[in-house]
Amino acid sequence: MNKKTASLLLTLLAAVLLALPGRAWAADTTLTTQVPASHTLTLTLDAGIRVTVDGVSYKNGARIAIPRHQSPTLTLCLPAGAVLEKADYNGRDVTRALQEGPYRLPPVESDGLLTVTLRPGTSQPATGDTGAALYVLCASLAAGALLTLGRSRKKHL
Amino acid sequence: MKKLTTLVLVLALAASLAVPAFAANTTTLTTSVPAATYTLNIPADQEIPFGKTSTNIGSISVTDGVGFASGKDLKVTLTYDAFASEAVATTIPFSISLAGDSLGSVDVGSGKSIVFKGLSTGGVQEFVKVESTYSSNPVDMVKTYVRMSSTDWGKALAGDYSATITFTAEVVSG
Repeated sequence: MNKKTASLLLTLLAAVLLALPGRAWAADTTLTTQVPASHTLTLTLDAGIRVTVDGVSYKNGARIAIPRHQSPTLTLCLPAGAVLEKADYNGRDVTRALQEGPYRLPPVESDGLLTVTLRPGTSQPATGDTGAALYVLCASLAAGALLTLGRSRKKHL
Repeated sequence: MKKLTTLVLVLALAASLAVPAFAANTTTLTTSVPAATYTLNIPADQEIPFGKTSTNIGSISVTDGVGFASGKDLKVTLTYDAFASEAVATTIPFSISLAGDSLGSVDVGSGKSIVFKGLSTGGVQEFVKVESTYSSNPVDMVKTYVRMSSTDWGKALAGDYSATITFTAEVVSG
């Protein structure tokens, strides 16, 4: 390579470098998140109340794992003589829906809280297992309701 | 001989006097502008809690700025895509916004830039500043929020997701 060729190449390199935009530097931040496969439904119930979730009976304080995007069916079982005052699911009033029978929750997308209260003075104080028969009846009713629901779904398929 | 010597000397003198008239006197001036240097501080890698619609992930700031000037700024471009998972098909879109301590926020969409102004002192602004009607002085945008809608959280299938924010910095002359 003679001097003229070297000089020409150097000039070209300088021209290319000058034509390039300013140097840019890049760095990354990685964000992660986890969408759970199930959510927790917590029950806050007045004394004596039981709630069946998909046929399984639960009492106050229960924490139930519900698969994400599933719609469990809830049935309310009140003690004898008790009158329902209010049922609230995640801030939404579901009193009427639960009074009318099995209630299917919308697809579960987050943890939930079901709060059920009785009208004061309408519930009997719990004394032993006297309500067991009632709970069995409630569970049977809930199971029957689920069975009917299942059959009607099959019919629509 | 004397005459000849005189003639030669006169000619030599004439020749020496004529030289400055033909010489090209040049003055070459050179200068060197050093490259601006800086440290760009970006939020650390982190996990966004499930269901949160607004998460402060930290601040974007510039420190140790040298070689800047008024009109010579640092432009930082943010690029990012929705949270995606290798295991499931759903994605979770998000947006980024900058906020001050007590003010609203400024959205920075993917591909958009923020500018840290160069200062006449040679330094550069530590935070992006935004004019506000609520304050007589421009407000420092010290927080960076990741915003996600509850609807998009709700639709997402269960799984592990990740997203990358790329910060591309460039010294620009405005």
